[in-house]
Amino acid sequence: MDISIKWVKEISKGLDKLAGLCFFAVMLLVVSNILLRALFSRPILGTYELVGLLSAIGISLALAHCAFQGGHIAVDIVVNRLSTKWQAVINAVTGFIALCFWLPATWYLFKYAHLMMVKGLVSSTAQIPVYPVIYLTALGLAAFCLVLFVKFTVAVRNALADISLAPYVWQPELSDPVLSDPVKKAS
Amino acid sequence: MSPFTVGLIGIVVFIVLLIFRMPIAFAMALVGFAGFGYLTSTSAAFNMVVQEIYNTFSSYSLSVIAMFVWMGFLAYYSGIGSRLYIFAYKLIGHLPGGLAIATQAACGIFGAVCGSNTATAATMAAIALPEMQKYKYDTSLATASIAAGGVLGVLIPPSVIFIVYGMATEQSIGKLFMAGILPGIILMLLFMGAIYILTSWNQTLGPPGPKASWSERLQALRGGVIEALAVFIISVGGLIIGIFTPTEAGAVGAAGVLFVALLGKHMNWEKITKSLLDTTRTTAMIMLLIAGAMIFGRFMAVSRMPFELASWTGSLALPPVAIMGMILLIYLILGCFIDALALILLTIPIFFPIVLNLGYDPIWFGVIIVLVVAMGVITPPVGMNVYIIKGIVPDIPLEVIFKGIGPFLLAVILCIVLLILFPSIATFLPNLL
Amino acid sequence: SKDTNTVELKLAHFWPSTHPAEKELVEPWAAAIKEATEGRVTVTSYPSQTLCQADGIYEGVINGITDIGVSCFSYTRGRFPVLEVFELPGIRYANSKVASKVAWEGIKELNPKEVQDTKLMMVLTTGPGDLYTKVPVRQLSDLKGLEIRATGLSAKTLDVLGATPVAMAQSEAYEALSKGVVKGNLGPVEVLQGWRQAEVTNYLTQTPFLYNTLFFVTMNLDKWNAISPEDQKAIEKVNEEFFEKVAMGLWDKQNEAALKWAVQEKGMEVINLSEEEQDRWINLVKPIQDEFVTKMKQQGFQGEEILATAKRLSEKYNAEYQ
Ligand code: NA
Ligand code: NA
Repeated sequence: MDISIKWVKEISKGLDKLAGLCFFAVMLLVVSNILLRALFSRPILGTYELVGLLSAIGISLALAHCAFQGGHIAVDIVVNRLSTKWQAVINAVTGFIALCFWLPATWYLFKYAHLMMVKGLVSSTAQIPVYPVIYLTALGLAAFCLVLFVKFTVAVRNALADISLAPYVWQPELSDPVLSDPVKKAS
Repeated sequence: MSPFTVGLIGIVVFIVLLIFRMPIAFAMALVGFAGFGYLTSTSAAFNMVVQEIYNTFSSYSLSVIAMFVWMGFLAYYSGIGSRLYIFAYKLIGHLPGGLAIATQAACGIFGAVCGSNTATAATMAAIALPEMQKYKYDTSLATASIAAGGVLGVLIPPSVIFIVYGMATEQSIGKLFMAGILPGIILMLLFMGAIYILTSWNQTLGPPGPKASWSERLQALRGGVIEALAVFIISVGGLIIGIFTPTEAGAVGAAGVLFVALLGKHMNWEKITKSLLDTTRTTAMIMLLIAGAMIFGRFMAVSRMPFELASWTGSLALPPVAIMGMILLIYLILGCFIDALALILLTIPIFFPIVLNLGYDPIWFGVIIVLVVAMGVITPPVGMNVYIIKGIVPDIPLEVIFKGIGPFLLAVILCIVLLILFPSIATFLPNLL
Repeated sequence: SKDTNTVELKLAHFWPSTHPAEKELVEPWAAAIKEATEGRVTVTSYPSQTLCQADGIYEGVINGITDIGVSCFSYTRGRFPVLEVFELPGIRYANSKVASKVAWEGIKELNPKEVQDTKLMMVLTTGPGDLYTKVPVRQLSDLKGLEIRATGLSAKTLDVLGATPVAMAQSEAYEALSKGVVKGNLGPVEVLQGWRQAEVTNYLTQTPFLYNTLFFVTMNLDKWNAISPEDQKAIEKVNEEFFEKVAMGLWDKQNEAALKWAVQEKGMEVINLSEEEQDRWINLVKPIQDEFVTKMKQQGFQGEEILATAKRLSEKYNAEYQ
């Protein structure tokens, strides 16, 4: 169980790093396009579309790790007042509902990617095929579903188990704890 | 069941899911999907969800959000933001709430570069929040003031909302931009006033520091302001002399901070990586929220709820001011649940002709609409700006931020009242054109 | 026939609710269909992308997000390879009447497979686009290196003419023009008034051979088949009537009004290119047509014939609707 959690964590971390590269590339692309346009009248044709495509890849590949860290925000004022056990029960139920939605949605996104491959959708100026990007977006969503599934299993285990299993309670883990406690960092 | 009823049930289910701690983006997408599916078909609803997700993620105009978020984190990790706030603290930190007041000024200045409330809130949160916490400012006050200050991003030109409004109503976007300047400054001053009153009344909210001498201030100036000024000149300068567009300004801003920080040797590879990974997390969160809001908006459209509410208001036999009051009240209520941009698109087609018939100025109403958006993005349960702040500082509970919103909401309402009493605040500048 | 077979249809488009596309085409057309079918078929319009994003509308019609959709073919490039012929630069269209008639007749002749997955009700066009700029463009050399806002195929067109195309949404163009990030825009004259761009440009160079945008009005096949044959016939009749009387010339009316406004209210100067100058421009964009033919052939279409059809029809209707 814990090994599979570790694996999912590594996968989502890896995808997140690729996402970071995408945003880095967006910045480089936009800035070089501006410089080439302003200095040499030679813009990079299709920058507009490439930025959109790179952003789509970046955002979707980051979804999984964001979910792993508990980054998708929720209202916790009510549930936080319940016992750990009840929290786990609620997490298991909402986790299940969420999976029932995101899994088929991901499947439809794969189907959409396939359809766009068949229909030959390309970007409007540079005419780059769009389907690989949609496939990557679907892949990001698939990894996201994997994280949701792992969180769901942890919640189920916590709900079924004794409170003494506290170490298994999901702890959101942030890439930089400093942000959650800036005071500590500053001093 | 009538579509209207389905819409109402959808909102109730949405709130229930929120109470049970379902992530907000999931709840919006799920309810939007279910409602849309009920009113059309399941496969249509799945296809709609997929389209909205891909379109939102691959949107060129939204890509600017990631860039501004990164810019904020770069400023944080390089310490530029911190050094800027040391200067601000030395300058006005002896006043109660001084730093929060300075942050409003920073929001206003940043609003002149950035046309989006979400990006303004995200960037300012990444830079200013850690600093305000460092100086023991109350968390509610600090977060809520930035959530509200983000609105200055759409009131002070450039502004996405003015562009959308101008497009939907065929009004001059130039005039709308001009019209936003004075109300933008007034709202900023009202926010500052709210902070000053709050912190004077309870000094623990924004504890005043020791008064610094002018030589200390000059020293602090050398520390951070020059770097910040360099970044500001690169991005605002380029925008004003027309080298790049507001959407490109995000990438230029990020590149600018990176460049200045590398030059000042404040940056290393590890910090760059950290800033990027915080950016991916925050952006993924924001974009999934926006996609969720889009999906929910599609459901609201097919439920025809906003359309029916709007035409009902128009049919009331009341004096103009009362109808205007009703319109604002409906916006305040709908704005609690529907994302700002979707709300404008859904309601403007019906409200705009009514407002013209009542004899109100279309440019003036544009400013009112932006202020209405300002209310929507900070009111619970769907308050995009508040969500963004929460995404940047995940450890602060959502309700702590919403708790601080009250005074700022009052400031926005006061600004609207001022505009109703003195419409020339908005119409004076554009009429000079 | 008095069957209970009533069909309620949603129509998605992207124009604001005040736009002539809604007020003069969609609303009267929906009313005419209701009347022609004695209330058995009703259409509810969702303007301003409230139901579907502009570039998702065609797909949305196929998979049932909306029942009827009105949008641009070029928002999903590659999806409609044959229809790209009607937007190619280098073919002269006198006005939107001509361009719309050419496209609609052309589609009937070529019967391309790419639009068989929906029930195409009519097409219409913006008609030719002009260059509106901050500095005068009287000849090719004036265009050299000039930053012009353009997306899609137009970006390519401006590139071969020596200009510097800058891609951005139409909604961003006003701001970019006012700050000088771009020095001009290429598009139907309507944009000058609709998007207020006459406020930030000074010259208008007439280029009726550089630009055209093709819009579709199309319906989900299942929904179409759910309508009784008599009602289908009645709707087809309404469609033909609205194509001829409203859709074809819809943009001409707007373009004329916008031109008048831009010249009289905003003091824009209109520049006409000489015949030789126009030929020079048309020669430069020829390679884009050649590229189209080559690509068509690669995909197994009769590229030359398709291009020839568009050219033949444009000559025919230019003479008829001058
Ligand atoms: Na702004
Ligand atoms: Na709200």
